[in-house]
Amino acid sequence: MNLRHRPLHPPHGILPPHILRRLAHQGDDEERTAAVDTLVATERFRGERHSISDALRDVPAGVKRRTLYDAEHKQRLPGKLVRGEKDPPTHDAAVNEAFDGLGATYDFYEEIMERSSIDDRGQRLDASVHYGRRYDNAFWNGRQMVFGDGDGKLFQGFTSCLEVIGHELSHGVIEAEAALVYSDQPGALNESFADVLGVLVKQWKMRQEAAEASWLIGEGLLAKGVKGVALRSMKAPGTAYDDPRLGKDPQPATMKDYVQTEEDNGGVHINSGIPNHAFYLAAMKLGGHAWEKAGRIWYHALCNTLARKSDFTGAAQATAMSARALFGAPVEVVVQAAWAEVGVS
Amino acid sequence: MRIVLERSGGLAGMRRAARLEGGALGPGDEERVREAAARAGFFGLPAELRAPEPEPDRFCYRLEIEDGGREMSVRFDECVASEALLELVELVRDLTGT
Repeated sequence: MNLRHRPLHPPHGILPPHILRRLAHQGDDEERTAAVDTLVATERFRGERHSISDALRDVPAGVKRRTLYDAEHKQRLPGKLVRGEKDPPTHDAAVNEAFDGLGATYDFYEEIMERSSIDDRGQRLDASVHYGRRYDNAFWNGRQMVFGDGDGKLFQGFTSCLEVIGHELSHGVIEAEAALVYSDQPGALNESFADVLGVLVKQWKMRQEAAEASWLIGEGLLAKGVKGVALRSMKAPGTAYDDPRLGKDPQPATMKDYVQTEEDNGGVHINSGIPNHAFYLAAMKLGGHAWEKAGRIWYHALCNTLARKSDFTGAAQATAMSARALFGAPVEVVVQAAWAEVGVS
Repeated sequence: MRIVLERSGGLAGMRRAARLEGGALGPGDEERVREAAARAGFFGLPAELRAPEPEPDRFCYRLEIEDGGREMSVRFDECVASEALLELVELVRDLTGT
């Protein structure tokens, strides 16, 4: 786990642990969570994990702490505070969309994965909108989400896309769990887990079964006039767009088309098509809602059986192990078959 | 002056490339690029400016400028670029319509 993901907000400066523990039990909501934050961060710094703070798990479950900022078209973060957790919607649609999307992602993790925010300790969710000029991107920087407005010609704003918000916040979850290295095959897995969890947030919010879902990432992000439906397709990698200005969707669906490149950290957004398709195949075979079995298996692997440098073969093994642990041999077989179908054994 | 800008990564993982050369820029625009490059210390940068651990969904750039015999190509991650280097990228984006 990485200290930089934990914003420290000690209410009274640097306090000794026994006072922090008092506050964690007796302070008001804000003081308690800030005290626990500091204790946890201090433990991590000292190399202790899940010790004192586990006993003090007083951060109430289900408590969202969202803060929205306006970066006002600069590239400095976080920008001007525009909406806090208890504030009503503002006049700015981007702010409200981001607020709602952060909330939906939080709710998904809490209800389906029994996870309390990104770090599983009620981490606050901060986001800045209107970042940069014509900035056609969104990202999680380890501490907060950042949204650009798009350039209006090829991309629209990013806050309207729930699976994008889910994808970005899930990078925080991935970093807190398996921490897959962001290059080559581990990086493509990192990207794939973010896509998987992102679409699950959307499918869950819309109560869609696997067979009804679009399995698209970034649906509706491409501007009118662009020949494409989304940034990526898990159902049919390589078919999301084909436009003279954007080029053609380069994603492979199987290992035989794996792309060797120096760009994009070894093609992490390209080769993610292969594990994405494996998840799609497993979810479709298992049927029902994708988050119930396939989603839980993949999340279990992320938290328990994957390693930082796992490659695709390692992920196939990890998800098969998780499938067996959660649902038994018949489901393990389905997961293995899905990976085999994309050329990973 | 020759300018080449390549971008990869980002959430969309799309590749963008732009190239200007052979007098495509007027003297006024060339001077703006020269000044922005100077503010960014472009010709003194290392060939690779990478984050020790890449941040997910950030852009990866390669910028090449050739100007009056001086030539430099730098591969860099958006998350470790200076404000001045990002402004140089923005200027090149404006001039190349990317």
